[in-house]
Amino acid sequence: MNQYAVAKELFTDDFDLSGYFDSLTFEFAKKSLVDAIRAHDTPLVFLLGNPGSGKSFLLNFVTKKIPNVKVAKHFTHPYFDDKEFLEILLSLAGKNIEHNELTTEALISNLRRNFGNLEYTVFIDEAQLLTEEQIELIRILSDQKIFQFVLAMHKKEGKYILNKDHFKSRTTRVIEIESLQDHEVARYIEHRLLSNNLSELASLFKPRHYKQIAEYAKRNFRTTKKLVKTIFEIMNIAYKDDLDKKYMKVNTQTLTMAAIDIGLIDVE
Amino acid sequence: MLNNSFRELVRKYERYNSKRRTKKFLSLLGLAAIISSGFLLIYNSQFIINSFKKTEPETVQKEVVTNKNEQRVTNVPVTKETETKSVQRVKVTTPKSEELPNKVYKRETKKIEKTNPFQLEVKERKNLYSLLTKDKEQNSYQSAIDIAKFYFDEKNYKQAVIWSVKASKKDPKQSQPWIIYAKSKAHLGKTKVAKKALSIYLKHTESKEVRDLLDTL
Repeated sequence: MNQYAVAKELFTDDFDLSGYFDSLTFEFAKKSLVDAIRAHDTPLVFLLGNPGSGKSFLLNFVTKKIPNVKVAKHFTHPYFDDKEFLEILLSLAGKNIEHNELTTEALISNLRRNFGNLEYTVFIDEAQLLTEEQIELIRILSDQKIFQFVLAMHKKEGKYILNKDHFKSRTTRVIEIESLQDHEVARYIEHRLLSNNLSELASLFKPRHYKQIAEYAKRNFRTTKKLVKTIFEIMNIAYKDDLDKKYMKVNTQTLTMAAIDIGLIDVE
Repeated sequence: MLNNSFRELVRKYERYNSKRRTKKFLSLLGLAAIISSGFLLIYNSQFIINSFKKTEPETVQKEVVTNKNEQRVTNVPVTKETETKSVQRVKVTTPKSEELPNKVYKRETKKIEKTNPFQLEVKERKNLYSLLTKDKEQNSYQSAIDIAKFYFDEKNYKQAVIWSVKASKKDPKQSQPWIIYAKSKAHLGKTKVAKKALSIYLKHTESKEVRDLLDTL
């Protein structure tokens, strides 16, 4: 595998924790979230950020890498019905319950007997997809201090849900993940390449290229990864097909071609 | 894997690049057009303002002419030209005082058409700009007196005084500047000054028109 193909794989969008990057906004959000979980005093925590800003990565990172946090369950999506949701939570106490064996009220009272004082935290990702009924159920569980909930959702929808009467008067905490800064985009690409012994490729990027990448990707973490991956894909094809050497360099043309390919620039 | 084939991507890039270049060129062209039109506008307006500034007198400087027999004060318009050069004095030959003859000569009287002393006839009414332009070109008695008449007619007596003095400097023997000067001063409530000016003129130049005006003031 040539170095371009290796580099390309480094920027694949996944939850691989080795791709952790300590941007200022991410570190701040991480610290706020860990503090809120350890304090056991806030029933509802909203983790807000634009798509691709790193919310899911943060939940994954906290679940797997941070010690002394009691994450009872991490729902990567909210595709469950009310009873199923409560049954999953009750199963965490070691109880084997058949589906529809107990009523909703009985499930809640069982949960109250086994959990309390916001000792355990439940993560729900993509929480903007929760229905009104699901939100109401979460509100009841958090009001009775059975579980602490961390709801990760898109910024726009999150603000809308927060303004609902359910949450206006309740103790909630809002943590936002902002966009990357220009120098952080540069530091991320450089760090990722250097830490994988691809210093030759890292040297191809000049400050103006980093700036252009940040502008095209609008400083979004996921889009940045996607764009850099596509740049290396173009270089890889040019290398394999023995095309013009200009396609094997980081320049305005390769950057723009990558941006066109992933739809950041509309040519039509 | 790319979303487009490599060849397609290159083609798209070239299309995008040519679009961007055209946009850049057009915006530069537009910018150049705006700058040049703005420059022309400013240049033209400056030219008009300057042409006015050069012809209009800015201030009035008092000139004191002292002779053995008299002392008079006249208002002289100061233009840029007079600022650089020294104020040009008009030499007016005044007759030395002589002994009065014993004889009494009868004054010859002619029929004089009664005219309204406060009305001037301007046959061809021109606008100020053309008059000022003409004066700038010719720098003559006629051009100066035309402006004085214009101002008088417009009831701008201060300017009428200034331009009548200017005209009288060009041709001291002409009575018209003195008449406009005196009438303007009279309108400005300075009848004494008007009378004095007319009597000074009459001392060295006989003019029935001036004398009649002096009588009516």
